Amino acid sequence: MATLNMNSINKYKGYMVIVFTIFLFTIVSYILNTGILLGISGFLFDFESYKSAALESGYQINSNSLSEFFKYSMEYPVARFLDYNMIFSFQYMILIIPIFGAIAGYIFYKQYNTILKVTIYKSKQFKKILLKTVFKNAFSIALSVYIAYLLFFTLLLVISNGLNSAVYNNQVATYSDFLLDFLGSNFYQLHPIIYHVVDGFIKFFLYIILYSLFAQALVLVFTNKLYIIFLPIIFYYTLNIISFVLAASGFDYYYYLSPSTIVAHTDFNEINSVLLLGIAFIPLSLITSAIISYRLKYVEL
Amino acid sequence: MKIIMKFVFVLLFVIGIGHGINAKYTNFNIVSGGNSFTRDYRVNTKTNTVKKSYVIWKKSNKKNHKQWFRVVDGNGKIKLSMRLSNVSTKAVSGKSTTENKKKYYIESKRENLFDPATTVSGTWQP
Repeated sequence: MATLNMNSINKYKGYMVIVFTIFLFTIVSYILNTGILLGISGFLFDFESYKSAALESGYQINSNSLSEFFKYSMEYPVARFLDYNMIFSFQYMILIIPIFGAIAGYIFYKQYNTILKVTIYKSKQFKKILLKTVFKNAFSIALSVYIAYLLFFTLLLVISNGLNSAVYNNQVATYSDFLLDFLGSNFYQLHPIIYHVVDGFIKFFLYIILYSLFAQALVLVFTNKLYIIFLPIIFYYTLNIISFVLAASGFDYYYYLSPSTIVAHTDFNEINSVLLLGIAFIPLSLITSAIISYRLKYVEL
Repeated sequence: MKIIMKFVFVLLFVIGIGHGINAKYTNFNIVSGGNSFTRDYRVNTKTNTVKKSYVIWKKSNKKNHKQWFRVVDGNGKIKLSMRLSNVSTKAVSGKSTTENKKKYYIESKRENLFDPATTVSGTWQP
């Protein structure tokens, strides 16, 4: 019982590491995108040139104190723009989405090749235990990422206090066309908080569950852990490359084929949400289901 | 001789515009891609006291995408940040902290980290 509790605590710690890492990465990405750190080397090591460049744009820097640097850097309120910071702070996620799948795959690989086989053998309930473990892993990793997303979003809500770049520039607040064909064209203007919660749920919860299930299904096919770790990543990047090759050859709707579009949907205009969700979720779900159901029938422990 | 004079005149005019000498609008041509904003190093000097900057995003080598533009000083300090949805022949304005007779640059970036090298061009004033 004590061992079981320790295992649970260790697992809990592992997922907390994911939450903390994602949150930290996002904060770093946020700080970099505010432009605060731009020119800091000039400020520290070549203050006279830094001062004269500031003066050329009409800003008098009186001393080389850090408070003066921050006062100068923070004159324009980009750090408070909700839309700008939601887009650019999470931009790095476009590159690392399949890595969460790889993590889930690796966790399941270790479970499957150690204690899980024994448990299944003892209980004779292969299907039930296997599916429960696979879904639990996928759910835990996706929830960790989504919690980090919600934490940062809450922080940004407080910082922005309703300000976004469009409102500041006296334009109509738009964020993305994704889901607006379901929710209504002015949904983002009316309910930006709900929009971000739902958007994050699809991108950073459901989509990560999908990749996690796919990677774990590979454990039932391959015995080499390198395949389990790298195949989801190769799948994601290869499809992206193919879609960009299609774009280069003149296919205008290439972005529907790119698995990164669902994470980077804000970049595109007039997105058909059904098509985007369908192409992002259905093929990979079918492949995963096919692998799992086939192996559940014929696997030998 | 006349042809040479004309050529020199046009050349000086183009160089003058390129360096932002009393230019209201200056052209930009930016290859944006990757993680950071890309700058067009042609300096543009503001010629009015209006606390607005204008961008006319005329062309892109990619279809159907949004583009962020920002006006910065020589240190990269942001004076305007604005998101445009489509190419257009119309100027779009945003609230900026630019000042008359001061020098600025334009930078641009796409939201999609994956989409390689997007070239955007147009004209702007700080």
